[in-house]
Amino acid sequence: MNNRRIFLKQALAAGTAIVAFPVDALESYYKKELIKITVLHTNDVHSHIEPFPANDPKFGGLGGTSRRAALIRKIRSEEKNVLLLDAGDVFQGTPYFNFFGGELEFKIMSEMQYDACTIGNHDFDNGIEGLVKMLPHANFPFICSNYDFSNTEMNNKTIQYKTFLYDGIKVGVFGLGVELEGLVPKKLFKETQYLDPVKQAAYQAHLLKKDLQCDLVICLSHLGFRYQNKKISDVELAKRSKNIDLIIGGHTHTLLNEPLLYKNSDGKEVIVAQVGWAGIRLGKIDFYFEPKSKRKFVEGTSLVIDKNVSNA
Amino acid sequence: MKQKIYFASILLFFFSLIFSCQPKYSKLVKSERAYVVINDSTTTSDVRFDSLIAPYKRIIDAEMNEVLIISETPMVKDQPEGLLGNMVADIVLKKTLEKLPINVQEEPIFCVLNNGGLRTSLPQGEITRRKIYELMPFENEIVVLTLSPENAQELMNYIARSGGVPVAGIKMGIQKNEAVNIFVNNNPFDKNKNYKIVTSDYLAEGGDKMFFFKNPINKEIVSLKIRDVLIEYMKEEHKKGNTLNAQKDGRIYIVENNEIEK
Repeated sequence: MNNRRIFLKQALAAGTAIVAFPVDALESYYKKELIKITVLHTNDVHSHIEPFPANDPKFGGLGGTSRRAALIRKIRSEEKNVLLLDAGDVFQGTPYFNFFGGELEFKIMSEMQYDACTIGNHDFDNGIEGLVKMLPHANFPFICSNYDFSNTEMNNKTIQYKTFLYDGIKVGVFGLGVELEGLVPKKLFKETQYLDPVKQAAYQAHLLKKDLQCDLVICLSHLGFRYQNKKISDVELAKRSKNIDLIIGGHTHTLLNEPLLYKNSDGKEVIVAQVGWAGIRLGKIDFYFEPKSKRKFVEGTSLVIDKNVSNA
Repeated sequence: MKQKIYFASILLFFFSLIFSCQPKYSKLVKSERAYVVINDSTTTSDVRFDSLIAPYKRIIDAEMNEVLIISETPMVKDQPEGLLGNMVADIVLKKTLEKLPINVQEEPIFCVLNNGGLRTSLPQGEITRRKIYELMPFENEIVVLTLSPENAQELMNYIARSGGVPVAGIKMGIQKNEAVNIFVNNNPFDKNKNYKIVTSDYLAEGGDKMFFFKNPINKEIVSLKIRDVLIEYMKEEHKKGNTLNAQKDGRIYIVENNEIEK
């Protein structure tokens, strides 16, 4: 289960000892002092409470919330600083939503101790009022920085950002939703105003990084990974952004085997992550900070929630 | 061991050189990424969650475990055409024509749905009511729109640009973002005729940016939910002793690949 060990073994096997030696030594040197922050993430779970049956043509035997809960509990027992996030589209996809409107989905996420969630287009599927009705079942905040809900029942039910403090390391999270026009029927999203995600991201990320001095800025996005046309996506946002370290994405159900790195407009690296859909994987990204200068390492993995043993 | 520390200090020296100019903020210095598959021992179910789910699951199982039909083959969505899309579009068109008898020679009619609306795959073997709910979880209703030849042409080109969507009653090629060799109900596309389109109310309202649906010449509400007609068809066929099947029949095919917008 030690990913670093697996990585090192692979590095040793593939590369030379000259490469592997200092990394190993550096690691043991750093591990004593570094503050580790583990970011766990899901997206587009779409009411998939139970695992896919074994005979599913694409995802046989994968997923399931009871297993995800067990996995998260195990990680929490091993890691001190865990941030658990969801990038939206909690709702719609199995009869659990048709029957109970999202009640069980939010109860389960609350029990798993999610720290925050953003709002996906399908979270409007029972209308604004359908979402509002379910909010009492969620004990975590909904972070969305580019939907203006002032003229809707959702007014004051979301926050624009949230900061978290772990052993002196400050983490800021903001959220972005996808354009609703042409995607969600107007009668469902009503007077929700969609604001330009690039502008809102610039504002929120600057606020979090510069004014609030966050060491790590995370964008929880339901924009989608990447498009063939010019539609704004996580990859586009990453390239055009400043002050964002990690974009946790959703909407396009993209299965990335590892988070990808892009250069932002300042030439700094932004991590873009997304873990498919339906809870078949749990994303895990480990950041290592040095307490004084707050340098950090990052480790990104994707954990498949599966029955079978194998290293893919 | 000494060697390791020696190497480490050299690296640390380099790192401190690189970052000495940025004392305040953290910087990404290393990215290690792996792909780990979790096995049974690390992902056994949390019994506390099983009991949280149980009362909800009982209610759902009671209604959703019903077997509707046996499928001969697994069905997934695909482009330019896929088994799943063909099967759904065929059933929706058939069931609509049962409800609204139309002389297709006089009033050409075809069905257009969207890939995004097909939410899961179907396995080979037993198809339960649950699976059809997962395939079509939305409460979408069938509508029949009458489009002008211009709007119908725009729809064809939309289908071409998208690389293919679930259709029935139409056959076309895709050549660099354009629809070519179009046949509707086995007749060549006629630029002087109106066309009837069987689709979902979601798309008819301009969903998936099908904005050309917004001002049709006529709009008929069939008062049938897509999910309901799928379930009804499967039960009927099952009763007759039939199984579920689908073929790729070249209803949409690639002549020349689309160019990707940069």
